Amino acid sequence: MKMNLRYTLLSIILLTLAFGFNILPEKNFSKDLTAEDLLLAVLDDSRYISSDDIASMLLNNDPSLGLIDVRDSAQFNAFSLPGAVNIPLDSLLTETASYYLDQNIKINVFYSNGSIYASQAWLLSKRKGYKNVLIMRGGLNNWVETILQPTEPKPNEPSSAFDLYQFRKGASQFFGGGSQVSSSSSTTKKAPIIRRKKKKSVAGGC
Amino acid sequence: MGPLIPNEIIDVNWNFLIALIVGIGFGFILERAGFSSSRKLAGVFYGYDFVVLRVFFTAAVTAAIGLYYFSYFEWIDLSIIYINPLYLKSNLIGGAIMGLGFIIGGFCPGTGVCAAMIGKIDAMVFLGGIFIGIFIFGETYELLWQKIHMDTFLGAPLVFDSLGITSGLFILGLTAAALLAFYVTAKIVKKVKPVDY
Repeated sequence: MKMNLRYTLLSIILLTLAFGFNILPEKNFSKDLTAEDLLLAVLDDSRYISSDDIASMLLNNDPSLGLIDVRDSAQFNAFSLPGAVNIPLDSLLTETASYYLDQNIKINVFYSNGSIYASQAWLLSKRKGYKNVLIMRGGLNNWVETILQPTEPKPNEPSSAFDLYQFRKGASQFFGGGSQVSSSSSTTKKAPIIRRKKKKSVAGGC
Repeated sequence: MGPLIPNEIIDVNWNFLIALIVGIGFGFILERAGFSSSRKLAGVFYGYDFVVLRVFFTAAVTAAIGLYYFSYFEWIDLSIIYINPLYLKSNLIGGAIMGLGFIIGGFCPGTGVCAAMIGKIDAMVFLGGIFIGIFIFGETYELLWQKIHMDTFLGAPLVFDSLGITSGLFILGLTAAALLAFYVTAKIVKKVKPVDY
């Protein structure tokens, strides 16, 4: 009987707490982004994603990646990353753009030739309150340098540099840039690719 | 303020140590709650023991209420906590396999480890099976499973958003459902012939 009383009491506490949340006065969480917040976001380095991570996500067909090309359409048609969507900087605030940007599912990565246009697009998106927006570090120039034409590390560099080089070499063949080394096996476009481990959060469960 | 690690109140290098401590605590509680007995776990399916359901449902409801109060008092920023992404097809298939494994083996992965650690041979065999399965899956992932896995990616939707109700209403409903489940299962246990284990 005593046990039952205790359970009843606990149940009442739980229900009261759950009910209480419904009658609490509304709180406005969606504050406007202040200059201070924006400065903090700019100082924070985590808005960048490396070209290696992008390459790895593309190779793994990661569905959570959304690539946004902010250059004009002529440049986009000349060369773009696989699966990228072209939203030139001047049309970033249009309805069509918000269809791609105002969402909570994908990680949208801006890229331009360098970093400047992508950074501007990122800043505007931040101000608009779009979630999950990142910038590809160094833009396409860096993509060409690291992924399409990787340079071989010096013999005295750590082995991780060689692993990275192997990965980049594989990726460069995959993305069609090719390299001088790969000319011998030019018949197969898809060379064995050494994949780097993708950083993933640890999933829970019992 | 929270979450502590993404906001760099605690250094990210503490992550694994904290995980280890929480993990040890979790394992200890599982063992003390009797979850290292496959008979107790299987009791949920046969209707003679619902402790598993009670423990996990209580944990879920407590955590939900706690998190939303924390968020209300601005102790935690719910928008940056990690939510498992939803891959509808692979989640359904994985859930079915997990459920089958649960009833056939008598353990879920966590309780299997617990039981193996206190020396249960069936649990050790169960763990061996898990590792063989992981190995086969890992080796054939790109060949067979990647397409199914990546199919129907839906981001990280929340139940109350999908239903179009407020989080408070959903939590109230969940709490009521939990209490109702506790009441009903207590009645069922009384009716079912007790099993000695």
